[in-house]
Amino acid sequence: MNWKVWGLSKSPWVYHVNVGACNNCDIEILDCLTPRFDVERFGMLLVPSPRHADALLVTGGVTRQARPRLQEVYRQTAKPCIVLCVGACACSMGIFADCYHMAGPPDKVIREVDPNAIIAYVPGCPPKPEAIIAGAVKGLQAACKLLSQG
Amino acid sequence: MKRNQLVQQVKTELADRLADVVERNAKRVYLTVEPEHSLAVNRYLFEHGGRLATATGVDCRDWIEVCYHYCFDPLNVVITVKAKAYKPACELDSVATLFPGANFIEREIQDLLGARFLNHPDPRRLLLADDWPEGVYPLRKDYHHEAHVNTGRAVSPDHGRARVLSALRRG
Amino acid sequence: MNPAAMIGLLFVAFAGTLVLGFVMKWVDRKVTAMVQWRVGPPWYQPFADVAKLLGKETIIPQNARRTGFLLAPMLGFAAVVVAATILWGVNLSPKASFVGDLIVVLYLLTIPSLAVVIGGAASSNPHGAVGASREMKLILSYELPLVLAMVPAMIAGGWTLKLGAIMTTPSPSVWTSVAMAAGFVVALLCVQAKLGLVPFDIAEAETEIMGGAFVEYSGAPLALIYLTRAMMLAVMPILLVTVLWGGFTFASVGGAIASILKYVLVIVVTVLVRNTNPRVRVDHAMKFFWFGLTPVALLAVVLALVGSAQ
Repeated sequence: MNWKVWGLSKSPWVYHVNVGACNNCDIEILDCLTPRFDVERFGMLLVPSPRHADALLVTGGVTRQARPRLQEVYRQTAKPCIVLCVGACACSMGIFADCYHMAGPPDKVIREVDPNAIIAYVPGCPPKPEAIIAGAVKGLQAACKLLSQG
Repeated sequence: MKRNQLVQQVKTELADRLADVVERNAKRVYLTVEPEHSLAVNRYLFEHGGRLATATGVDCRDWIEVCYHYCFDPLNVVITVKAKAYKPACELDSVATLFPGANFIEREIQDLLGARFLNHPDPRRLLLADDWPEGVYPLRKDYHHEAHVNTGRAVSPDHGRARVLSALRRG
Repeated sequence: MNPAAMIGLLFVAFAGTLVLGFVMKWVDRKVTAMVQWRVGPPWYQPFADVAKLLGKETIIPQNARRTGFLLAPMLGFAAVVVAATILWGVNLSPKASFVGDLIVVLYLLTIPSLAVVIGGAASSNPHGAVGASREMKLILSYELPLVLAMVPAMIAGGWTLKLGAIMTTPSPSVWTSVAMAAGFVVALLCVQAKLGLVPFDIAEAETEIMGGAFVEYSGAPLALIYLTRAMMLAVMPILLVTVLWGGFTFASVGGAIASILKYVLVIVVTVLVRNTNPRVRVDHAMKFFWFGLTPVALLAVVLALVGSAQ
């Protein structure tokens, strides 16, 4: 793999977007940054702006109010980037599937603006930090393989 | 003042305003009122030491029942005022004119159930999206879900707002 | 100095400061991790960060002032490279320093902070504007004590403005002279603010203003900003040690080890201060610099004057 893809695999900066979660998955994502799981050893930093991010951690099913905003945040993220849908609600809307205020799961909403988005799913309610790390690793590996092939 | 004293006082002083009084058990008392007396009964309970814990709404077939739950913590009793807001107008006087704590909860009931609170200081939407259609109340029994699923704005209106200086070159 | 030697020095200083900056950035993150009972990133982490940033696309917001937005990181980067060249040149051969090169270096090292202001203001983003205004307030606060802290070293070096003369003239050292010690402590705290490290990282407060002045940067300009900050992290302790602690000597083994230890000590103290303090509010920072550090620096100058008059 060329050096840019190597850089992406060794230094994924994450930006956390909560589009309608109950905050359980957000707490587990926060746990990943704590000394017990310490994702900084993989180079993962929590960045303050989506423009700096390589991975969007999306939690929750997309509410109607959040839908254009999630699409805007995705478009603001500098490509190449991956989207990590963390939690059952982000993977498939979970128990809120038929709710009156939902606009779909994040992957459907993001594919409306970018059909070629690289999306990884981490199911669980909430997923354990080990699962989130495993999902991030798999997503990055898939992204690097896709980018190397061109 | 003890609990029994309070309940007795409520029963005697508000006798002409209450439609019904039910003491379900030692800790729960339910007062049913018609909409024109709701503000007076709420004011009475608030001024006699009640703390509005929350307000809830129920969609009964011909009216919307807005229940105000007042906790009297030292007396270990919760008194609930069930005010009926008859359809189709569903109007009640707003309790937020008495104290600001009722502001948000009345906005929420108005948003989701459609009970209109007259003289509310801030009758904006609270929970539903800005582009949710008017007059559609999701928590009513006759709400049809399929007509509203997955509607709403897609991409933001400022389409194409950013300029990309160097496009991604793959491979 | 002939032009070829000058350009050679430029490249040596650029490459050396770059590598030194990356190593120091790794030291920063590793010491932070150790203080927090974590394992930190591996040694090649800053290289990976820059490699990744260079591979991302550069997005310019539509309402941003394109020239200022793209020029600001380049200005800061260029200023740091030239300042590093002068410092490396002076340390490699003290006779090569010219009159006033201390002032030139101090001027050049204000430009990266100004570049932050320009970039933040050009971003057409309210977070950027807030970050730019906070950085402006900080510049107005810490530049005066920093310059005043260098004056005792000037006086002790025999009333000279040449960095080489300050380094080589035998003068009271940090351990024996109150003026030099006070100047060193003041300069250390001002360097903490200049590098944008807690407790003075007000301009780029991550949790408050989403990256402040840097919120709209992505791709190669962001890589330049990252490089500039890494090189500033390498250059500012070099300036501190050169002016206030006797400079670097690699003539003898003992001198070389002492130089490296001095440098590492400054970096480690900076990182430990960063890890043990909360971020202060911008008005507290201004009060601290104007009414706390400036009088101490003035006192150090007065003591140095008294000491040199004897």
